[in-house]
Amino acid sequence: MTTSAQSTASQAGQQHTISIEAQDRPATVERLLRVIRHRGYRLCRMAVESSQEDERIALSVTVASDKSVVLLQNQLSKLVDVSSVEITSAETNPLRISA
Amino acid sequence: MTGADLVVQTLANLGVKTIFGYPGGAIMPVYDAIHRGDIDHILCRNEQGAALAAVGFARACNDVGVCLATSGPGATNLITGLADAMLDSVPVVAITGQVASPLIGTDAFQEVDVLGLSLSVTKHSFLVESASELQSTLEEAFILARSGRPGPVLVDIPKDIQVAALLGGPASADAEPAESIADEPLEQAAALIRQAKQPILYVGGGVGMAGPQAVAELRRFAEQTGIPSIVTLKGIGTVEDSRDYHLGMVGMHGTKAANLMVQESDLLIVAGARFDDRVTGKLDTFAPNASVVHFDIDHCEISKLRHAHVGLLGDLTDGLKRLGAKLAEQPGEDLSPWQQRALAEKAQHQWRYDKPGESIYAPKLLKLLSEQLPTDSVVACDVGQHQMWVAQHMSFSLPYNHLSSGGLGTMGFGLPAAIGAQYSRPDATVVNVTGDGSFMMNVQELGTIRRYGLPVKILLIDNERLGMVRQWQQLFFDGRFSETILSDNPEFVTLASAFGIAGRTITRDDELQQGISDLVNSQGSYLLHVRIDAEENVWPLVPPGAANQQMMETAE
Ligand SMILES: Cc1ncc(C[n+]2csc(CCOP(=O)(O)OP(=O)(O)O)c2C)c(N)n1
Ligand SMILES: [Mg+2]
Repeated sequence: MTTSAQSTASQAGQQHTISIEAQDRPATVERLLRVIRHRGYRLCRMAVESSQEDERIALSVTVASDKSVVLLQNQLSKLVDVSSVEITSAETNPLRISA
Repeated sequence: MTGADLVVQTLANLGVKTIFGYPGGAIMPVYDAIHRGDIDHILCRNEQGAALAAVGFARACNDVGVCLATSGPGATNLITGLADAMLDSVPVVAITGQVASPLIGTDAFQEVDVLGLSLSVTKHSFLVESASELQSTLEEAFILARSGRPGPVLVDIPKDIQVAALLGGPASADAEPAESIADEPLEQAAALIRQAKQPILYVGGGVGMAGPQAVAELRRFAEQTGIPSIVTLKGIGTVEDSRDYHLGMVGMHGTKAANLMVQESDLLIVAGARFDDRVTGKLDTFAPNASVVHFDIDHCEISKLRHAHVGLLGDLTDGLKRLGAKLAEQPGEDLSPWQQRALAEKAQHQWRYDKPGESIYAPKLLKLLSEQLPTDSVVACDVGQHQMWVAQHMSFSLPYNHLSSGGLGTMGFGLPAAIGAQYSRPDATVVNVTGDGSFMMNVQELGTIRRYGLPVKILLIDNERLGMVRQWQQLFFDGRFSETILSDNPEFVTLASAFGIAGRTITRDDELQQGISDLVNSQGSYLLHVRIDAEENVWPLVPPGAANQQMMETAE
């Protein structure tokens, strides 16, 4: 695997939309939001859909940062409850990481 | 049986023999089960001590350490130990009692939102919501703690679940095996290594955590390729100090040879290290001309702080073996000029121990201690100048023998970590090297040593100062020694004697040999209290914001 932080670095404050799928457990959403804040991304928009039957939760978050969004994608995909993190905004190629 | 019995039985079924903890209301059913079960519970004297003992236990044997606490204040006291485990990637499972499920969210007595509190200091955490998921949650906690990049996992168990009637079954929680590294990046890595004229092998704590086989494989790789090596604080013990081309520790208090040569390297082969700021100095000046080949088990570390030209994600032992095979087939550049450089830098910048005067020179003390300890001894240090002197002047045959709080820099780490290590390595000599500041941070654990008659040895290096902070005040705050003078320290030997621990104080160089011999040869626990000059500093020092070649060597 060759990843480059520099080549995918976004411009200052550039927005990216990320789709996250996760198991719906106590604190799943807090965990995601904590990582977004702590790793240096500003939350601009968020939509959450959870379905009780299959204990899944889907989030769409739009974040802004001058850091590469791939670094955030990596950190989010590392969370135990998270099953996939997809960058869906037009600025970058869709890139899917399965956790 | 009850949920509490299931907790104890599951731990026993997972092979846990020793846990460290402290009882209280919301965990009483589990303590009742411990009373009838067959696990050794070690009562520490503060939950922070229990958590750090679990860390020491885990680090000394490279497997999971377990700690236990009640809700509220018990759980909050655990937090520092969990943060320590988080930043040093130590596999720890923490079990906390919680108020009964119907009371959660009512501000009940000793209710704290431990799940919320745990988020930033654990790899993962669970609140057990139903009795039926108790056993699987515990198994999952062990699997997570020891798989991939290890870390602390917390399981919060409400009291009603501890008393629920349950059926348990056989338990298992093996680590998930690491995936093997793909061939293409290994080929790319081999190509970069073949071109390199000035490569450096940059070795971190991840190698030891990948297991003794990874340590052996890394040593073999170093031997085969002849590439000069450097280690981080947590990598100490991974490469043999006797290796000719080993330059020692890199970074803020690293060796001159390591810091000078890493800056000139054209290729960094990183193994289980993470470009921490204490290693790199000013990040964009670190090894400015080097390409990077980075082995790690955590994909987040690849290109996190420094762009990796090749990222090698997965099983380190197998990856090193295959990379070594590729290089054996087609070796690279002749490294002898670079190797000669390594020998010359090492020779030119050897440590000196011939300090004039009557007083005790701490580096010499630690060097002598290192020479007199059996090779499989464990040293758990605290945080400060003495910790850096241990890293610089003691020699370790394996990373599991040097327990030092690297990522969090937790004062008070050493004594409980030494206690934990004494349980996972009962036959080893275990020494806590501490400072007069750090010792007082978890001094209550002398009670644990007394209770269980542990032979833990304590070397207290007393400069009557919070020395590391004092050093920075001297160098960077114009000598304003704000709140770092500890001339009112207690009588340490008397203090130890209150816990039935023998000891003595030494102050002069001519007392060194006898003092060390008393410490090393004592039957039970022993405190060697060593007075040193307050003004002694740790050198070299890469000042904050500087590049690694810009080391200070005196205060002038
Ligand atoms: C819990 C905690 N509080 C504060 C610090 C900041 N700190 C780092 S080193 C140090 C001084 C340590 O003094 P001592 O244990 O006597 O060691 P010395 O440097 O004198 O060898 C302090 C206060 C810390 N690392 N950990
Ligand atoms: Mg001190």
